[in-house]
Amino acid sequence: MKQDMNKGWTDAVREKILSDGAAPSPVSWEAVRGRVRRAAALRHGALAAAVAVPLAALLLWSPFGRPSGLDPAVAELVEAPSSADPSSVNPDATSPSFAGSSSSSFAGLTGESPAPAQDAAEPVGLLPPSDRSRLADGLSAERQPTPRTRPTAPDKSIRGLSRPLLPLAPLKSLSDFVFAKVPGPRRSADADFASLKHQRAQADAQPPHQLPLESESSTKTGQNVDEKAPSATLLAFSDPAPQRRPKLSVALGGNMLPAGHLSSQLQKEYSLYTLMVIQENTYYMDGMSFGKSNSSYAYLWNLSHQHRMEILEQTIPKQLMLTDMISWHHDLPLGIALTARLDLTSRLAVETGLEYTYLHSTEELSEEARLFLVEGVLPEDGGRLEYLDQKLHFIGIPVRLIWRAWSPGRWDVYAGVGIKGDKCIKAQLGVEKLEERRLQWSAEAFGGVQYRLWDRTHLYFQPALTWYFTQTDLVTYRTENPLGLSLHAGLRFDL
Amino acid sequence: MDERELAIRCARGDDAARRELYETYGARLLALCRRYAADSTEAEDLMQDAFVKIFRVIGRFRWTRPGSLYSWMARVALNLAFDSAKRRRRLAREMVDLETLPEVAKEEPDYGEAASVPLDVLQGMIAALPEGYRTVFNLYCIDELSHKEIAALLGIKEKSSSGNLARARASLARSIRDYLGGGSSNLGNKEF
Repeated sequence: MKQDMNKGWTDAVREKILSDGAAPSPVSWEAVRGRVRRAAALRHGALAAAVAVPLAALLLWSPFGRPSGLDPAVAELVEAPSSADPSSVNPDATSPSFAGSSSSSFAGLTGESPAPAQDAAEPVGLLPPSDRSRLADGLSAERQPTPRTRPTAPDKSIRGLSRPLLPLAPLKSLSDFVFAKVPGPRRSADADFASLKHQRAQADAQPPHQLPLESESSTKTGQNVDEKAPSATLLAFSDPAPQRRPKLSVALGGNMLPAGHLSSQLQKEYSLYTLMVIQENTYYMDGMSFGKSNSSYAYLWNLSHQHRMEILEQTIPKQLMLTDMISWHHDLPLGIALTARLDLTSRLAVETGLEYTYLHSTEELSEEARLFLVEGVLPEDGGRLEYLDQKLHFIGIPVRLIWRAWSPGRWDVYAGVGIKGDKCIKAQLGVEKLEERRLQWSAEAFGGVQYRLWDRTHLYFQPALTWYFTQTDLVTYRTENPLGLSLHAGLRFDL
Repeated sequence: MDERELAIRCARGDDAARRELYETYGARLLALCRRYAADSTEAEDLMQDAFVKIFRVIGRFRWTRPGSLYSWMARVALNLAFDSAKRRRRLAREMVDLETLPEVAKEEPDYGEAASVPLDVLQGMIAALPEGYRTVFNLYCIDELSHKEIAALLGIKEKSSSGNLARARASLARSIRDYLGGGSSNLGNKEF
C-alpha cells in the first residue's frame, strides 16, 4: 500500500492493464511441472548422496581392516580337493575361503556336529603360520572328508561346516582369530568358544605333535571322534598385513569472523516488537483488555497466525505501512564446537560433534512508527523502546566427510562437505522468551589448513560456505543470509 | 479451495493443488511478467521460472489476508525479473536524477479520460516510455509497490524512484492528452 497515491487517472490505467490477462498455455504447465519434479528429484538425490556417501565410506573402509588375501603357505595347508572319501583329503590343498570377503570376517561359530562326508563343500578358513606345522603333523585325510570349495561370497554355509578343518591357533589379534571345526557332538556356540580357548591354551603349553586333536582323533577310520576336542566350528583367516588403527581426534573451535552486522529492511509482516508496541497502545482488542502486561505480546505471538492477523487487522491504522516500520540489524553468528573426527583411511575421515551458535539481532522501529505509535508512551520498565534485542541459542549436530588432500611436513590441507541440523534451544526477544520449533538444516562445503603444533596437537583454520535450506520462523542472520561464509578455527587433539 | 489451503497443499507437493494455483493465478502472473520482459517469449520463461520458484518456497508463505497469496507470488516473480545485476545496472543508468531536470508541467487527465483510452493504445503508450520510466511506472501504479520497495528491488534510491515516476506519469499523461485531442490541461500540483 502506498502513501499519497494519486488514485485518479492512474487507477483507470491500472484497471485497464489488469483487465488484460491471457491465460498461459497448458504446454507451459507441463513444462513447469516437469521442472518442479526434476528440481525436487535433484534435491532429494543430493540429500541422499550427502547421507549415503559418508555411510558407504564408513562401511567400505572399516577401521578394522579387511583380510588382505590368503597367505600362499597357509592356503596350501587348508585347501583340499573336492572328494567324498574321508581319506582323500589333501592337506596341501588350498582353500582361501574368505579372501576378499571382508564382511565375513566375523562369521560366527557353529555348533553343528560333523556331518558325513557327503555334505556339500564347505568353505575352509586360513591358519596363521604358527599352526602350519601342527596341521602337517596332525591333520589327516579321514578328518577332512568333504570337498572344499572357494566361496565367492560370504554365505550361510559357514554354519553348516560338517568336517573338521583346522586345529586351534593362538589368538593373536582380531584378524588372526581362528575358527576351526573339529569333530564332536553338537554344542552351543558359547561352549564351543570356551572350549576353543581352552584348546588354545593347551596348544600353547604342549608341543605340536601332542595336540589331542592331532593324536587322538581316529582320523584314519573316520570314526571315534575325539570327544575332548572342541566341536566349535569356526572360520579361520589371517591377515598378515599390519592393521591400521583408526585415528580419532577431537577438536575445539569456534567461528572467528570479526563482529559485524547485516542490516535488512525485512518485509515481514508484523514483527513481534510491533505487536508489543501496538498492544501497549491498544487496550481493547476483541473485547479483551491486554493492559501493559509483559506477557501480552507473547500471548499474541502464541496465538495462531491467522488469529493474530485478524486481531491486528482491526487494530493497525490502514494508512500505516508496516513494511516501513521495521528494520533489522543482524550480528554475525558466534559459535563454538566440539567435534570428533575418525580417520577411515589415510585420506578420508568422517566427523561429527556438537556445535553451539548464538544469533543476535536488533529490531528497530522507524522514525515514522515511533512518532505514530510511541509518542507519549513509555514501557513500564523505562527502557528504550526504539530497539529490541533478539537472542537465539542453537545446538547443532554436524556430519561431515573430509578428504585430506595434501600433508607436507607439519601441515595438512583438507576439504570436505557436510550437513547439519540445528535446534533452537532458547529464544528471547526483549524480556520475553519465545519458542522456535522448527529444525534448521544446512549443507556446507569447506576447506581447511591444519598445522601440527606438538605431537598430538594441531591448530586449524577452516573457512566454510554454508547454505541454510530450511528457515526458522524467527528472523535471524541466517534467514537474511541463507548462503554465507564463515571462518572456524581451533585446536585438534589426536587421541 | 481457499488461498490458505491451496498454499498448504502446494507446500506438501500436491500436484492437483499446484495445477489449481497455476490455473488460478497464471494469467495474472503472465501479465505481470509481460510488463517486465523484453518480449512474450521471455515473459513465458519468466513466468515458468517464477512458478518453479514459487512451488519450491511456498512453504515459507504465511497467509495474512485475502489476496496475500497473489501479492507474495508477484513479489517472487518481480524478484526474479530483477535479480540480474546487469539489468539493474542498466536500469539505474537510465534513471534520471531528479535534481538535474527542469520542472515538468503537470497536465494530467482525469479518471474518465484515462478510462476511455482503448487498452491496446494504452499499452502502446506505456511501452513507448523509456525503460526506466516504464519499469517504475509499472511497479508503482500497476503492481502497487512503494518507492522503498522499488528502490530495494532495482537497487536505486527512493528519490530516484519517485522522480522517475513523476516523469513517467507526466509523459503518459501527455500521451493520453494528445490521443484525446488535447484540450484544457488539468493542472495539478501533486506531491509524490
